[in-house]
Formats: sequence, C-alpha cells, structure tokens
Amino acid sequence: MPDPLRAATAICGLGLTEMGPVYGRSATDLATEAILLALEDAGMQKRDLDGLLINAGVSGGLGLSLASAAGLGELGLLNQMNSWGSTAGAMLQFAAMAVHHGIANAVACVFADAPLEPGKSSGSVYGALRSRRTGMSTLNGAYGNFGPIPWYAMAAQRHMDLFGTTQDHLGAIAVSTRAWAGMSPHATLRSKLDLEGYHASRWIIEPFHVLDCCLVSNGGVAVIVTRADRARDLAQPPAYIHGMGQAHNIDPAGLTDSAVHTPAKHSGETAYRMAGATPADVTCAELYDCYSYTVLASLEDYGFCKKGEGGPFVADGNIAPGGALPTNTGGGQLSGYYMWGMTPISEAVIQARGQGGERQAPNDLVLVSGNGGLFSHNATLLLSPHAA
Amino acid sequence: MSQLSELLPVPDEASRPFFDAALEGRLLLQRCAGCAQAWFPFRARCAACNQGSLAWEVASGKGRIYMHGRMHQIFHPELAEAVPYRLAIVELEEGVRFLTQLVDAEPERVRTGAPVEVIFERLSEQVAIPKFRLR
Repeated sequence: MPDPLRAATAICGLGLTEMGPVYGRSATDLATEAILLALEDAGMQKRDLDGLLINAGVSGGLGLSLASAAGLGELGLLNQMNSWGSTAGAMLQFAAMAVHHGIANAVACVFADAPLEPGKSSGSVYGALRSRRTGMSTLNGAYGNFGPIPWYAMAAQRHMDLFGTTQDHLGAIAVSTRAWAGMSPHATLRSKLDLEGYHASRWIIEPFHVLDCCLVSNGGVAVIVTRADRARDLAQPPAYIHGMGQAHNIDPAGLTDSAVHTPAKHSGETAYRMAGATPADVTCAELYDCYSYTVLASLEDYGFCKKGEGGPFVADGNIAPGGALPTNTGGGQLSGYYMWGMTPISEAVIQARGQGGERQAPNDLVLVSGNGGLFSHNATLLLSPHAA
Repeated sequence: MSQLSELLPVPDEASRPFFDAALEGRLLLQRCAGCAQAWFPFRARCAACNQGSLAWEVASGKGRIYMHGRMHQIFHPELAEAVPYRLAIVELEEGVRFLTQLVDAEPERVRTGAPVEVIFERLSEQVAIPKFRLR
C-alpha cells in the first residue's frame, strides 16, 4: 500500500522577489512581498492562508512578527525554523504534514535575507560571522578559519585525495551550472563560462576557486503548500509532493567520515521509499550548491552514481544541458541566486510545472535537496506534475 | 611573536587550562571518566554516555591529516602577510579531530592521511596555540 502522504499535498504557489545585489529593503519586507507574490501566483487571497513557516537568513530581523507585518489573519500554524540549508525543505515537509492532517489548509513557507550592503564584499558577510569573542572558538581567528568555506573546501580536497577527483571535475559543475543559468531570467550570473575561465578565477581556498562558491543574494522566496485536491482548483499546475525525507548527522565526537558521506543518503532513501521510486526514476535534480563539491557529494549519496565516481559523472556531461540528469537547471546558488534551501525548491517548482521555457527538463520526478551545517542536516523532496 | 592583535585568542574560564597548557607546550583534550570517550572541543558533560565527569588529559600530539586546504583569501587584515596558509583538520591518535594550521608543509607531502605532530606557536606573552607539521 502506498504511503498515505505520497502525492497527498502539493505546492500551489511560488513567489520570487527581485534577487541579487538589491539594496535598501529589509528581510521582512522582502518576505512579505514573496508571500503576496506566491498568493497571487496561486490565485489565492490572503484570507486563504492559515499557516506560515519562516526561515531567516543571516541579516537578522526576520521572525515571528512577519505574520503581523504581512497582516495575516488568524493562523493554525506559525513557526520560525532552522536547520540551516535544509530548513526550507524541512518547512515544506512540516507544512505538508500539517495540511494533510487538517491542522492548516494552506501554509506559506518563506525565506528572505538581506545581508548585502553597498560596498561590502559578499565574502565578508559570511566570513565575518564570529559567534564568540572569548574561549576556544577564538582559536579560529588565529588559525585563519572563517565561515563555512574552509570546511567544505577541505572536504572537497579529501574527496580528491581519496578518489582521484580533479579540479576539472569541480570545474565541470561550475561550468554546467552557469550554462543553465544562461537560460534563466532569475539568474544573477548569466555570462558564458568555460573550464579555462573557471581555472582562471581567483582562489579562495584551494581547491575552491571563487567560482566554486555560491553567490550571496538579497531577496525573498515563498511557496504555498496545500492539499492535492485543493491545489487542483487553483491557478497553477500543482507540483505534487511524492516523497520527503530528512536526515541529521549528529556526530559530536567526529567519528564518522562526514566530509565524504553526507546525510543525503538516508534522507534520500526515506524520500524514495515514500514516493515508491528509485534514483533511476529521477528525471531532474535541484541540489543545494553552496559549493560545487556539495553537488558532487549529493549526486553520489542520492545514488545517481557510486561513492567516489561523482567526478567522472559530472565530467561526462550528465548534469549539463542535454545530459541524462539535468541538475540545477536554474543556475543553482553558484550562478542563480542564493536563497538557501529555497533556491533548489523554487526551480524545482518551475520545472515540475513545466514552466522552465528553454531550460525545461524532463520533469516526471524532480529531486530537491537542501543541506547545511557542514553536511549535518539534509532535507529531500520529490516533486512531480503527476497526481499519482 | 605574531602580527595578530584582534585575532589573538582570548581564553575564558572554561578554556583556561587548554591555553595554560599550550604555553607549556602540551596539548590538552578531555576524556570521560565513565566511558573513556575522548573529546575536543571541551564540553560540560560527556555526549556519549551523558554521565561521566570529564578530566583533562595530555594528548599524544600525533595524528593524521583528515582533510586540508590552502587559504588564499584574506579574510582579515591581520592575515594579509600570512596567506597562503594551510588549514587542516587533524585526527589525533586519541580519535578526536582538531582544526588547525599546518606549518612547514612541503606541498607534495601534504595529503589526506599524512602523519603529523603538534608544535606550539607563541603569539604573545600570554597566548600560544597548537599548530601541526608533517612528521
């Protein structure tokens, strides 16, 4: 018997604000606009919304008060959530479970952030985050370890040392993602990129060039989740949620090989099981690409290739336009826009609706992945235009 | 002595034993008296058995490179002269992982799994920090 949650709920609305170096607006204002755009997109009124889940970025100010700032009425569900880059995917899962069980009828899930300011480098926004001024963590400054970039770069280097993954392999991801971005009106970086241009871009921390690292963007994205039968009566083709899963690798003693084996494996297995699907059924993937390497590791852990074979898999063009597994078809976070877990979700909704225009990929089953916290947290969704 | 000022580590009460030991050239970790699990960084309660009291222990200072990378970006003006420098996470023989800088590292020998040992770098009168070199 199929899982009762399979295709029981759907994404019925999508709202994208302007994204990128857009200045002068608060995260709350961007979030409000994203919600209003998602309602308009769905053909819904504000009074139809009775749930709100909020994912704040790093700039601060976005919280539960968004509900009153946006002038929402009485809600059956309201929360601010955080599991880093997996938050957005997790929010959609909690929203789906809530609407399936009648706790709410329509839940908006929103991410917004405005960390960029004129004259401030995007690297400094995340690099400068230092939580404490005394104690053991102050060692990080003395070592020159800032933000999440060093951890992911070193993890990529470990993959290279263990499996023979090359700089060209990482570059193939940056190049392919840029090729997709060139076909997306939402993408920030759309100019052509080849491997030569990738290698010529400056180092941040070897093995990462700047083009291995995501953008930092201001903006907001909202999606609305409702029951499948309700979604069918609304303005947009429903993006049915066929599978969902999460995994959180809690490893306080550092006993697992967490740089190479990510929680995407367990999270993906749970989602595949709910959907009654296998990796071979996935026609298109939207993977959290805060760095090129997270795509490589995710492709392996979701079962699209064996562990260690991600490099040749991407070098063979599988994830590029025309490839067997179109991946990050909106330009991802590397070239598109950095809205944390909402980047892959928003593009997945566009793909599942068949609204990708020249970048439209086969959309029978779209895998969406969010990861965060140095490969500690993962959320997977499987979306489809098919009601069963 | 280093050029660091704003980036100088500032010990607090909990980390004082670690920094005091580093000044004397010893690398401290914690071990649970109940289940013998080693811990770094420090914590108030063992996260494995949730029971035992934690005691300081002098680490071997020997381990292997778990992963590594070479930093070029100047994230702070005090590191302008230091780039490029090598960061690594080292897995100590005791089983804990330690983020650190690698020093005197010949590029062709820096590799995942390479054996390393601790050295101590004096940053000021009050502060020394452990770094690692290939052995």
